Amino acid sequence: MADQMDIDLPAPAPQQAKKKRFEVKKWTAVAFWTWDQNNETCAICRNHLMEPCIDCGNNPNFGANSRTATHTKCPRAVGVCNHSFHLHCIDTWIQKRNSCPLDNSDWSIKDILKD
Amino acid sequence: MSSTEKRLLKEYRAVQKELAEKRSSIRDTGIVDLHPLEDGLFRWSAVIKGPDQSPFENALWRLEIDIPTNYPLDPPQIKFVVFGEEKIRQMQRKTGSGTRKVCYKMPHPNVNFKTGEICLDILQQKWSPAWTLQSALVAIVVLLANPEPLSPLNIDMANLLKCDDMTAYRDLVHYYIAKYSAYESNDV
Repeated sequence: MADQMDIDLPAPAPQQAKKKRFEVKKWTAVAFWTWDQNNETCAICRNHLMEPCIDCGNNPNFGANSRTATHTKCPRAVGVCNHSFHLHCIDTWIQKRNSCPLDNSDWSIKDILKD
Repeated sequence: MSSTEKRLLKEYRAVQKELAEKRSSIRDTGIVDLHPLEDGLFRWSAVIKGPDQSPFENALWRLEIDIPTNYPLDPPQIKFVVFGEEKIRQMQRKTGSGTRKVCYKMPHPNVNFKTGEICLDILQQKWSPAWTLQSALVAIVVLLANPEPLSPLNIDMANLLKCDDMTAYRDLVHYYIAKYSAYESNDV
């Protein structure tokens, strides 16, 4: 009788190992990014640096003929201290005092980013 | 609308939003009120509370703020609202309809006793356009707890600190708060 009973034999081990436990069917990558800068808002006009400065942003003619003839956009200026401002904003401030508004160090431009 | 007004409008919205919150960080910094007066955005009025663990603790002062036309390139002019003895007596008799009891004298080494003018470097040569009205007020609250007796506008108060007579300093502040506070009328 005993040999007729249903006995669960252990499954053949070598074959099981070949079957993958997990299978990746779909993979979605998600990434975040920020600018490699210390601040994202212009501390002078308080507009976001990706937006034009407070003067250009409210100028209905912006893009066509903004404050300077050479710029139809509102470029950003990055200082050697790695703080950035709208070029228009920092230009008016350094006429008062040549210092970075955020850390008070001497202001000099490292880069001008036009978009 | 000038860019100065646009920036002030931004500051106004940010401050009102924070003041409306029940548990807001702006109150923790000692700012009780900050709003422009009715005639536009260039004159503001504020109320600050004396910082904890200082002689000025828990008392209130009103400040008036004048904004220059090219703010934030030039600093705002901020001073304490101070009144003469006569006027304060009058206000005390009237028992104003306001609920806020404000002190109209400011005995502090860096505040002019007669005019309420404040000597604070960031409101003068150290000003930067990154400051706001709100952060400038925080600096004034901090100044109350951290007087600078070496550049005094009120020599008597500065001398008490120079002599390290903290008891006299504290008692004098308490005396002025007790004697020259009045409920403000609603017209401010």
